[in-house]
Parts: sequence; C-alpha cells; structure tokens
Amino acid sequence: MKILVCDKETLLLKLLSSELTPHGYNVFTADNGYRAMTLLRAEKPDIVITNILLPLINGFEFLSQIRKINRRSAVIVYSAIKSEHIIEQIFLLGARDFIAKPFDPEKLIIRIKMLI
Amino acid sequence: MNTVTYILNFAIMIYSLSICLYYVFLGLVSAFHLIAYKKSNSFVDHNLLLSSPMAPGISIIAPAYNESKTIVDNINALLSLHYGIFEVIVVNDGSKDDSLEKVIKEYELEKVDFAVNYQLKTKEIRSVYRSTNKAYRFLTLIDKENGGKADSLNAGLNISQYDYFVAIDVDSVIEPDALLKMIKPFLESTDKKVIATGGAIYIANSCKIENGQIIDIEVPRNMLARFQVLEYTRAFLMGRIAWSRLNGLLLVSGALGLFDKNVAINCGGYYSQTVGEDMELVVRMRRYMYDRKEKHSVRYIPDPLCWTEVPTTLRMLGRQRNRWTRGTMDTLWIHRKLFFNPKYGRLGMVGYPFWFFFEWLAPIIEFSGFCYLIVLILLGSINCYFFLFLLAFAYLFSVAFSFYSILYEEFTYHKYRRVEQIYRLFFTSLIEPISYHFLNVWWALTGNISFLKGEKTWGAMDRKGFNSKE
Amino acid sequence: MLSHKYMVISVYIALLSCVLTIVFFFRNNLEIIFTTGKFPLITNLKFNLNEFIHAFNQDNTPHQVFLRYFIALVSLFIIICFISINVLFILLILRRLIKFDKEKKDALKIEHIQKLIIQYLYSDKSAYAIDQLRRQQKQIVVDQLLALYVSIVGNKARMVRELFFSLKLDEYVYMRCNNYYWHVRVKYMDIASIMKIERVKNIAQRYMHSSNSLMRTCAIKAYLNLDSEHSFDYLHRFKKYITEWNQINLYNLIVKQSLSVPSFYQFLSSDNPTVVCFALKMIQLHIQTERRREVLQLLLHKDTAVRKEVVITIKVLYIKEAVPLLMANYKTESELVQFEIIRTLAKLDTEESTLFLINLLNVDDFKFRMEIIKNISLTYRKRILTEFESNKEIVAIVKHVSDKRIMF
Repeated sequence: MKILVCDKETLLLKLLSSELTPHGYNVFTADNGYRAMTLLRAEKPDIVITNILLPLINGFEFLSQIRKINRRSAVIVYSAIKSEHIIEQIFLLGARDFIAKPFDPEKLIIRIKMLI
Repeated sequence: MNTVTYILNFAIMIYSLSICLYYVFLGLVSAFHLIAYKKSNSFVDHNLLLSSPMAPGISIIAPAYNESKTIVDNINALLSLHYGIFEVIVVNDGSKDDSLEKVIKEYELEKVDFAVNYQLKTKEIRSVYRSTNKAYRFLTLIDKENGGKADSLNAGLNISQYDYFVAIDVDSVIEPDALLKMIKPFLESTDKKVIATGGAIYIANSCKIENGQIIDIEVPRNMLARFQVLEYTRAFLMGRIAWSRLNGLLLVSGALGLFDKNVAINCGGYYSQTVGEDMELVVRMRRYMYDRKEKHSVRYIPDPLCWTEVPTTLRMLGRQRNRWTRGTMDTLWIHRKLFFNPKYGRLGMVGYPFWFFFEWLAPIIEFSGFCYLIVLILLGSINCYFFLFLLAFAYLFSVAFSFYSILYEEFTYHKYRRVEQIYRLFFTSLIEPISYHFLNVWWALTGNISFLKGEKTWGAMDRKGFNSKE
Repeated sequence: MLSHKYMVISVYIALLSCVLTIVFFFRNNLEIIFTTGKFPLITNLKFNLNEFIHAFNQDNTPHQVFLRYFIALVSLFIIICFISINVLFILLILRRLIKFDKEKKDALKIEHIQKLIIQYLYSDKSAYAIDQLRRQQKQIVVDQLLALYVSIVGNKARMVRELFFSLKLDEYVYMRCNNYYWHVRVKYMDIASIMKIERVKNIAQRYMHSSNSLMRTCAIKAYLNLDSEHSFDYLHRFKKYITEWNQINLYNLIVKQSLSVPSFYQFLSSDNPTVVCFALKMIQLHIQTERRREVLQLLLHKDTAVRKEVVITIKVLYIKEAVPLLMANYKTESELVQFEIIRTLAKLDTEESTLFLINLLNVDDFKFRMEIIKNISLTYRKRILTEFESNKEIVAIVKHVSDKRIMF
C-alpha cells in the first residue's frame, strides 16, 4: 500500500516515514506542492497525508487536484488551523479525515487503519 | 534673450537636481523601512489568523469583463485563498462572451432574490447568483449592465457583507497568504486607523504557473516586460514603501488593495467617471478622514503578494500608460483643493505636491527640455563639454538607481535567484535610460494630450478587459 | 546564458570608458574643485572647453561661484553613482554565488542532522546520535528540533524535548535570549516559551513593558507560558496599547496551551481602555459569570471600543437584566455599537427587546433592517412579514435571509 506524505518540514516527513514504514507501507514524501503533484501522478498513492499549508501549491487546490487525478486516494489532512470554515471546506473538497496539529505520530497508524 | 535663457537654464537645473535628491531621499527612507519590516516580520506567524475567531471578515470583489478563457481558473484561485471568513464576489460587467454561462455551469449557480443595499449608485444589476453546492458557498456572482471597472466594484460593494474589502484584477495571480498579510496592518493599528493597504506587484510574464501558483520565477524573455520589471521594482520597493513610511501614499494599485469598507462607502465609493479609479478612491478616502480630523494611514507591504502579466507590445503598453497618465491627471484635477493645503496634513503638503511635481510634471519638463536642447543646438549656443558632463551624470544616476533597486530586491525577497537573472537585470538597467525611458516619456505626453482632448474611455475600441493585458 | 554575460560586460566597459574619459578631462582639476570650489583653467583640451572654462573664471559674480559649486556637486554625484554601480555589480553577483554555495552546504548539514535525530528517535544507537549531534551547529539543531516539536505530541515529543535538554541547548537559547539585537531575542524567547525553559522567565519579565510592540508581545507570551502563578498581574500596570494583533496572539496562546486564568473582573477598572477590552474578551472566552453585574457599569464607558465589547459580553453572558439599559442607550450610541446592541437584543430575546427591534424596522435604513432581520429569532419572521407587508425592502430582506443558498 502506497502512502504519500506532504509537508514543508522535511524532518517531520522523515519521522512519519520511519513511523509508517515498519507497518508495511510504502511511503513517499514530498516537501513542496510541485513534487507532491509529480508523485501523485506517477505513483497513484492509496493514501495521501498532507498539511493544508504547502509551499508551491495552494492546499485547497491540491485537494481538488487529488480528486481529479486519482479519485480512489483517501486523503487525511492535518493542520494547526482551527477555523471551522476551513475545516468544513477541507471535508467538502473530499478529505476523509482531519487531524489537528500537533498530533501523536504513533497514533496516526490507527487513523490510517480506520480509513481502509 | 539672454536673461530668458538664463532663467530657463537655472529653473531646469534646479528642477532636475531636486528630482534627483527626491529619489535619493525615497531610496534612503525605504531602505530603513525595509530593514525594519524584514526584521519584524521574519518570525511572525500569519497563520495565527486562520485559527482565530477574532479575525475580521473580508469581501473580495473581482470585476470581470470578457474573461471567458481564464475566469474559471481565476475564481478557483480566489476561492482557495487562505483565510477564515471571506466571500468572493465576481462581478460580470456585461460581458459579451460566454463567461457568465461558463461560471454558472462550473459552480452550479442559481438565480436568487438577493436583497441589494443600493447605497452606491451603479448601473442596473440584472441578477445575483449563488451556488447550490455547499463547497462554493463563499461565491457570489453578480450579472450587471456594462458600466466599467469602478461601477462594477461599486456593485460588489453594495452586495458585500464584511467590514473590509479587497479589490482585485481577476486575471492576476494572488499569493495564497495575501489576505493574511494585508489584514495585519489593520489589526496592528493603534489610535491611528489604517484605512487601506496594498502589496507589491511582481511581473508574471515568462514565469511558470501551475494550478494558479507561481512555480518557477523567471525574468521575462520579452524586452519590454523586462524593462517593466525594473520599473515595478523601483516603484514598489523604493517609491511606495517610502511613501507608506512617510504616510503620504496617494495610490494603492488597482490590481490588489484592501480597504476599510465603511470609509470607502461613506466617502462615496469608486468614482466611475475616471479611468484612474484606484488612485482617486484612496485620495478621496484620505480626504474624508482629514475632513473628519481622524488620524489614519495608508500602508504598503513589501511582500510580493500579487503577480500580473504586463503588456508586451508597444501598442498595448502605450495604451496602458496613456490610461495611467489620464487617471493621474483626473485625480490631481478633481482633488486640486489639496495642493499645499495645510488642512490636509501630509497628504496636502507633501504627498500631493510631490506627485504633482515629480510624477505628473516630470515627463512634460523632460520633453520640453529635449525641445529646448534642439533649439539650442540649432542656435549653436550649446556647450558641448558641459552637455556631455550632465548627460553622463543623468545616465549614471538612473543606472545607479536601478542597481540599488535590484539590491533592495536581493536583500528583501530575492525572488530572482539565479545569477544569470541578475545579469539580465543589470543589462536591462544599463540600456533602459537610453531606450525604454524615452518611450515612457512619450506615452505620458500623449496621455496628457488625450486628457486635454477629453478622452474618458479605457482607450481601446476592442476593449477586452480591465487589466493590463487588455 | 553566456551571451548575456558578454553583453553586460561590453556595455559595462563602454560605460567605464565614457566615465574614464570625463575623469581624464578633469584629472588635474578634481582636487582643486573639491577643496576650493573653483574651476581652474585648462588649456590643452578640445571642444570649446577653453572658452567655457574661461567664461567661468572671468569674474567672481555669485552666478559664477554658484556654477562652480554646481559642477563640483554634480561631479561628486557622478563619482558616487559610478562607484556604487561598480560595487553593486560585484557585490550582488558575489553574494549570489556565495549564497548559492552556502545554501548547498546548509542543506547537506540539515540533512545530516535530520538523519541523526531520526536515528535517536527510532534506532538503538541513540547514544551515538546524541554524541554526534553535540558537534553540530547549534542553531540548525535548535531550528530542526523546534520545527518537529511544535507538530507532534505524545511519546516522540517527550523524547524530542529530552534530546533538547540533554544537548544543553537550553543554555544556548538562554544565552541568545540576552542577545543585543531585539529580533534575535524575540526569536529565541519564542523558542524558550515553547520548550518551557523556566529560567528565561526573568528575561521575559524585563521586556514586558518594552516600547517595541513585537518584543513586548513576545515577552508577554513567554512569561504567561512560563509562570502560571502571577501570569496576568502585569495587566494592572500595563500602559501600552494592546492592538488586535496582540490580542489574537494572546488568545491563541491561551487556547492552545489551555493556561489557567484568573478572574478578569479585576482588570475592568483599569485606566487603559485596551486592557479593559482585553479583559472583556477573556471574560467572554472563559464565560466568567461570577461578577456579571460589574459589566453593566461599563455601558457608559467613554471609549467606544469598550462599550462595543461590553455589549458583546452581555450577549455572551446572557445578562437579561441589561435589556432596558441597552434600549435606553441605543439612540445615543455610535453606529458600530448600535449594530452590536441589535445583535445582543436579538439574542437575549425578551418580549420587550423583540418589540423594540421590530419597532426599529420603521427606520428607513437598509443596513439596520438587514441586521435586525438577520439576527432576530426565526419565529418572528412571519410576524414581520405580515406587519410590513407593504414595505418592499423588508419583504426582500426577509426573503434574502430565509434563502438557504444565501445564508449558509
């Protein structure tokens, strides 16, 4: 199973990658929107875990692009933003789950399993 | 005869010296301000506003005229701006193409009975559309009779529900965090109320754009656009920033500006009889505040918030410049009462006169200087050595000024990162004073002439859009 | 791209030669011009330079003296421009090249540090990783650890914090909090506040009344976060303006860290209106109702912003006793507060307040009508419709407000 993780912080990407790989997932990481889009097209990941604020792409735009490119991908969005409007918008754009940042990386796996 | 030439010489000399000093002064002021701004904003987390219930709502008003090709993408970009509470009001100004149908289809819009507050007079609003899809609940579309950009903005103001509004050109690329950065000065205001903010505009020609975002920044390949890169950098990083610091701004660019809605409406909204409605509104808002003796300020943010395509042909560019000149003259004429009027504080004593002398009068003086020069050469009374001496000075000064603006760009946002991009900018600034500059003077001059002839249009029979693209 | 380089260089050389020519003409005179302001005679030059110079030296009329100074000034300008063009040209390109190089090196360093941190977190060789991390550039390690620490909670976050302290980075941060430059202080004080380095609290206290607004906000934030006992006491003697931006910052901190807060009623008597506003906002946030009557006394406060906030507080705390007071004040209030009063009265929803609002609909002002109908309880809409049947505007507004597509 392929997972694409997108965030600006490369250290967090590395951490999530080391967190998820032992569970048997194939983890790809992208630290900007451009790379994320390329990976999305090339690898067609089953799950996309992304921060809503990404460099080089607008988060909402990214969500709608995921839906266009690969409808099957389940999207988990995490963010430090707590605005109700924005969270609502994230779900309306097709996200399956929203995680408030800061989150526990060890519990992320539970959220992922719930989606499958 | 001798005394006449003597006085003339002397006057021109004083004028050019003071214009140089003016530019040096602006450069210095903005240098200090940029350093301070950079320091104080390097660690500010603008995203705080996204989770705060205290963030004010913003209405985005985007007038569109025959933008069928790009309108859907542009609205998408606007809807996905990073902000908590906002609405996007697209005003279809009687387009003759299928842009209205396109938008209605894309966003599943329906006609609704919208109670419009007719506080500003506009052309007739045919209908207001809202979406049935909840994902597009922030979008409102107005269909109205054609009446120009100012008229469309006024119609948008009548519909808008929040306390602040953003006026934008629908075809420019807005950075996702633009609203966050622009609202911040309003929230930081103390007893001095901020009534408008604007952001720096960069040139998008030849840049790589994907999904409504600038992916790769490139110096334009077109030479005319490249000259404009320098022009914009100078205008924003050296001019506007300094004026913002001195609180003497007369202009917030029409491509992107955030305003206090109550002030804008109370002073009468946009004035639809001019082509320079953006400048006119700011001057009138300030005038209104001065009349009511309220402390206020207009701010400029050096952050690059907005990317726009500039005209790349002589004809289009000439038309744009012609329009700008007419807009400036209109505003200066309508508000002539401000000229050296101590009642209007810095606006009357500093902002307006400087704009009058150095922005409007400069091309005219320059042109008459050329004529005078030719006359002198014909009469044979020119001192060749002295002439070359001054010419060298003028040339070096303008090159140095451009170089400094590149330096500012480098130290603030260094959007142009590669070495060859800097080479290109240097080369452009070396040839600019002997090529592009003359064109600019000529356009400003023709703008003056067409203003005096009484032209009020946007300057084209086949008018295509409001924007610089035309 | 090379062609460009050549173009630049060729134009540059042309420029250089032009200026050198001029300097050559002046070479004997520059010194004299700058020391005396006089323009000496040169005899061995072409053009009509002879006469030109001669004309200046014939007499010492003010005009001639002025011209001499003018020429001196312009030459000075030329020299300055020329030098700065040269310097900038070299400086910018050098800076670009150096930065390019540095960015590459930094990226490598960051990569290495990140690997070590992950090693510490996920492998059994953590002792080795700590040892290695000690030798790295502290600033980068701090930045990396912090970026990670703010995104995660739980076991891993605890480990990151432990690593931070075992690398003795708290001492480094403490030292940087005492830096001469304020922007460095602000940055590291923020870090100290997030990492809860207790002893930074004393430094924070020192800057809480600083005249620099950013420094002040940051110090306050750090102090609130580090000292839970006396946290809000500073408001008692706070003289500065609390801008909305500051409030958003503090609010965010309080919500995020769920700080324990005192009763904010003690600040309502402050002379500083912005402090009162802030206290009212906090009362709203924490719904502190114990001394609710005190709020009503502020309805006649001289500051508009305070009055507005009081009305909102009444709405949030649901103080029904305030209805007659609000109605009495309505006429004399400024527009901004009037809108708030309308919202509050609609929310309180007593019989007299509703009657008052429906009565207000008679005033011919779209904005007020809209506000009233928008906020008034749903049950009254029918009544309004029947009562104002003939008034087109009100009917339109009711239709507008009832439309699910418009009001979401």
